[in-house]
Amino acid sequence: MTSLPNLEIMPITFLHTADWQLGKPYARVADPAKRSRLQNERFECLKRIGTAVSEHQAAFVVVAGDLFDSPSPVNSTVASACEAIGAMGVPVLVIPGNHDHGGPGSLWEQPFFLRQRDHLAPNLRILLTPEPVVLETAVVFPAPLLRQQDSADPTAWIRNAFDSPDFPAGLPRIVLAHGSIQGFEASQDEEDDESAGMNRIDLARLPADEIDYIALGDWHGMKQVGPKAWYCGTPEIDRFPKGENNDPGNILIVQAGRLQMPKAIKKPTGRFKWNDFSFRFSEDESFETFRAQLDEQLGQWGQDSLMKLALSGSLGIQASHRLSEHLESLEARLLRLKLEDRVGIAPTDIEIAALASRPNDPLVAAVASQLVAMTGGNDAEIARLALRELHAAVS
Amino acid sequence: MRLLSLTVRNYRLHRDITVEFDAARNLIGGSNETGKSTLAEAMHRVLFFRHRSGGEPQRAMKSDTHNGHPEVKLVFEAAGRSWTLEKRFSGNSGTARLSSDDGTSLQNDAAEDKLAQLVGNADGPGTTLNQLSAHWAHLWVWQGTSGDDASVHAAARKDELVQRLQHHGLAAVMQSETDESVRETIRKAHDEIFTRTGTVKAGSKLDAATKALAEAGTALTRALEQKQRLAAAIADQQAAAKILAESTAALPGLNSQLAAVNDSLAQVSTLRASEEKEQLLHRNTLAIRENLVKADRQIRELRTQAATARESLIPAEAKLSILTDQESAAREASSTADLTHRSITDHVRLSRQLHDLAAACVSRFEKSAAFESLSARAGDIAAINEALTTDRESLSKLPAITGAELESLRKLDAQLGQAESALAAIAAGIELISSEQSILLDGKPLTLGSTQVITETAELTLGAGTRLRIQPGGGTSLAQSRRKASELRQSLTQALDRLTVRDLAEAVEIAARRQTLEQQIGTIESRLRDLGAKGMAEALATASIACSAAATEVERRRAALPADQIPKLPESIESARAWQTQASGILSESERTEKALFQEADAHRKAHQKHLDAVKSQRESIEADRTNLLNLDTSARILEENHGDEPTRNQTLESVRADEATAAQTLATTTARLAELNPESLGNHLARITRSIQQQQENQRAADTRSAVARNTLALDGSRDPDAELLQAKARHATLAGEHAREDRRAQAIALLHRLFTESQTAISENLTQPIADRVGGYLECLFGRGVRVRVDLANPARPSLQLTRSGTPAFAFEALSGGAKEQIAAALRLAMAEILADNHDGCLPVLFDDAFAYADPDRVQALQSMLDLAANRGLQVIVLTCSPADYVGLGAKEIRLYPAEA
Repeated sequence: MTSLPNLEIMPITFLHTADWQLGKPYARVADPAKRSRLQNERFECLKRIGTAVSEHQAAFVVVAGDLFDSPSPVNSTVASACEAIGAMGVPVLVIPGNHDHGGPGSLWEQPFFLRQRDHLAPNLRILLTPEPVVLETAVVFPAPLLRQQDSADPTAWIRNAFDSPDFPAGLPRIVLAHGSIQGFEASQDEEDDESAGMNRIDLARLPADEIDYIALGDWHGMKQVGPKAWYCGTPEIDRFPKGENNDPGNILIVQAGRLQMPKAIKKPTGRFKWNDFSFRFSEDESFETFRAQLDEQLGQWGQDSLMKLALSGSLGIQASHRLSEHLESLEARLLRLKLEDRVGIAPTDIEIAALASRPNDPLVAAVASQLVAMTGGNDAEIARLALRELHAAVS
Repeated sequence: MRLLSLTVRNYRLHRDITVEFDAARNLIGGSNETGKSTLAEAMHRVLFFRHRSGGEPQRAMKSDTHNGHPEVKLVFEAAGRSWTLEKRFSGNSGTARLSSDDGTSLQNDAAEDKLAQLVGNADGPGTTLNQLSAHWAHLWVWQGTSGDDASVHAAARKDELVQRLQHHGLAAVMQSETDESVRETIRKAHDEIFTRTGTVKAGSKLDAATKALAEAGTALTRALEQKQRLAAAIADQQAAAKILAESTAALPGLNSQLAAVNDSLAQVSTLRASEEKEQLLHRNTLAIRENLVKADRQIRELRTQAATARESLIPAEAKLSILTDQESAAREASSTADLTHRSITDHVRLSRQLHDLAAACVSRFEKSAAFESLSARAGDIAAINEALTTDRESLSKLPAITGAELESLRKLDAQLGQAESALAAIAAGIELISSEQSILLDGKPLTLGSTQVITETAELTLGAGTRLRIQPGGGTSLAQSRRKASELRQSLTQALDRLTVRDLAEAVEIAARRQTLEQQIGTIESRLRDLGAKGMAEALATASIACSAAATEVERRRAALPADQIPKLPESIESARAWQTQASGILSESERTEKALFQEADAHRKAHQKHLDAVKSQRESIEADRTNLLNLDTSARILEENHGDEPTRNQTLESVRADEATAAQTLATTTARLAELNPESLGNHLARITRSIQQQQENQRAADTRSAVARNTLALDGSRDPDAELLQAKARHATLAGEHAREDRRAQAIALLHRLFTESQTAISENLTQPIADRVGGYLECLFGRGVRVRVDLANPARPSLQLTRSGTPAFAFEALSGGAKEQIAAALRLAMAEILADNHDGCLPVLFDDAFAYADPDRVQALQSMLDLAANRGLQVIVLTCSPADYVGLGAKEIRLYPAEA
């Protein structure tokens, strides 16, 4: 214990956020307009955070890494980010994460960034050095990532940071770190993330009594992972949620005081809905069921929704065709449709009969019969597709 | 359907003709322009041309020579009955009538309708050439069309053929319109994707997807490479920073090491300079001391040597005095001995002069005696020489007859005597005993009493008028004897003349005288040799000179003697010799004495010389010792002048020794300090540390450069985000891979469909055409032997094809065949089709060939007959029209001949 608790000291309020991932390319979204909407919304979200700052009279904002999606964002992204941060009006303390890590030639050294920060966001402070930062209202212990992957625990230096204490008494001490913790690591979006990190943070080895709040980033859902440790999650969802207890799209309003248990209150900031939907077709009639359920989940606002759709089972030729048409319209309507289509074409008996039993069209019947026979063999998929083409040609 | 008879009237060149047909085989023969083809056309017109039709076909039927409208009547069997069809082609007024054996009789259109039904003509009768030509084109071969591909007709009759084949259960199916349309749809879809050779068509969706995927792959590679470059630059930057940090950390230590070494080196340099000076100083003091010691020692030695030399001079001088005395005595003795010797020498000389004079006198007497002896012998030799001269003169006056010449003369004389005797014996002799008249022999008068030997023909003149020729006997012998005698006489005479003698006797006498003289000369010459006549004059002169020389010698030697010593010269040789002997004894005595005296004097001279040498040597020795002594004294004095006297020298030496010790001590101290600094390793240290510093500086420079390069790579202009680009490239690649897979699957599906359609259609087509092919096979075997097959492809009605195969050879198309083969195969195909179609016509149809085998060679015609016979056997009615009926005699057909006269 460095000093006796001063119960007179009021806790301070600040915002804990992380993983803004500005400039995320959304490369899997083929439509440029939709991609642009997704990209823009990440900046829109910053305005909502700015509103929260005023609403809650936050003393400052900590961003626990991955402010940018890339260590080399384009100039417009940098400029927009600085503009949004400047508008927040309070100090914004940022550590680099695995996506926008520091180090030689990093974004944070580039002249353009430095100019934009000076010009547009004088309140922005990038913490690139592992050393305590004493603010008016708090002492911050940053654990910046200076490379994309580091086998060393970036918070290791904090374990001994209190050996010769010389910090203003009564100021809450806040650890700012980015990485995964023991037994719990950020699940990466396998299709749009090249930066799977191995930056492990060992919370247990941090001197718990010396620290009043640990602000973590990297995990895109919101989660309390220790008595004083939280992942705040990304403020605007950027990937399809995985697993249970995933709560993305928020920021944390934190109240912390020296030697007090912190309070962290979730505040939703996300706009777009990322849906996950699975369906297995067992018979042709189940197509209608599928459509009804899907409509129910989407509601009216498909244009603000993204959907991960996993389909399996099999459908007859006609139903399969209708499914294709429906998926086509879904793709147009949704911001994004991520489809895992494992639906097989299984011509119904009626369809088979309609093609193969044609006494007046012996040629078509002969071909169809052969295709039907092939659906049991090695070229089954091609044979089914051929049946579908034949079906279309006959209809 | 079978044709039974045909009647044609007013039809072109035919006025009225009736032909009865055989049920199976018919041959209508006739030369050109006899109307064979016209008959065939008439049959065809009556069956298929509408009776009321006009126009070109109708006009063409009309006859130019016969009045009346063309009329044709055909009797045939069909549908189990016998029918009579009659048509009059007169345009609008044309008529038709069809009646059967069951009493049915139909007129005009009704007749036409029934007829169409009977012949299976669904279209009804034709009115134009085009319509007409379509009818029975598959059955009847018109002149000039025999080589056409009959499969065209087969295609045209396909429906009927199919119907017939289906009726027989031979062909299962035939595609429908839907089939066709679906197949076409699939074909189009296939053609959109694939080329004819089955490769993906450029510009197709699959091709576009493949290309797009490849481009996306390239873009992805580029994006990855860009990202890797950045990662490498970061790694470089970090590595450079690490090196910089290491170098920066290492350099201060190295620099201080360098300073320490440099400091040590400076000390070494100073100490070395001191050491050098101290060594010099030490060496100098050492040299001074050594000089001093040496000079002192020299002075002492010189003094000692001088004393010794001075002492040794005294005895030497005493010895010299003795030697001088001895020399004087020796000189005296030598002088005395010389005088004695000189006196005896004069005596010896005189004795020798006297002795020599005596010897000269002896010699003078001896030379004189010798000369006198020689003079006496010279007188004897002169007398003998005179006698010799006389004898030689006598000899020289005689002829030089030798014994041999004398002998030769004697021989010649004897031979002549013998020859004359022989001649006298042979020759005639004439002797004038008495005569009154003059008698001449060969003009010479014969004297009385003389006998003339006649040895050759001679004329004997007797008186004035009588002449007698006498020829001696003996013949040739006489002549030979006479010649021989003459020759011998001549030889003798010549020999005598040569020797200048008169005759042999004189020669003998002269020879005797010569011999005597020669003996006398020999004796004299011998005496002269004994007396030494040769060289006598020279010896005499020599002796004379010797005499005068000896006299001169005596005079000279006498004159040489001192005047008081001149003796009286001896008178004789004996006294001279006695004197000489006496003088010789005196001389020998004198010489012995002289020799002894000389030896004595010489001994004295030598003894004196020895004493002289000893004196000289002693004097020189003393002189040398004195010089030496002077030198020693001088050297000692000079050294003392330089180095002072002994006390001074001792004092100086002491001082110098002290200096030397001090210099040695100083030098030792400096050397020890130098050794402590270990100057040898200092150089190595300096090199090592300098090297290290340079290496570190080089590292720093390299790291700076590397860092600058890396920074340059990392300095992005913010217009692009490599990470985002990589993600986009990956996403695009994945999307395009999906699209490509979709297109590929669809292409495979379409390809599969296309293949199945093609295969199925081929199978169906083969089902249709196989019965035809089977039937054709029988005919072809008639033509070409076993093993020949035909394949008919009617899959594409627009382009039917017919292919022939012979076992073991590839198929070849109908178009590739020769004209003859085309005709024959076309005929085979027609027969096969007719066979199938005949099922609709009571199992028979008429098949007509109008000059259909124009190209066939005679051998093949035989084969053709066999084929046509087979057709007939199979139920068809074969009608062959030909202008050369002889070719078809083997067919066994009913023959109908047409002649121009009938026209």
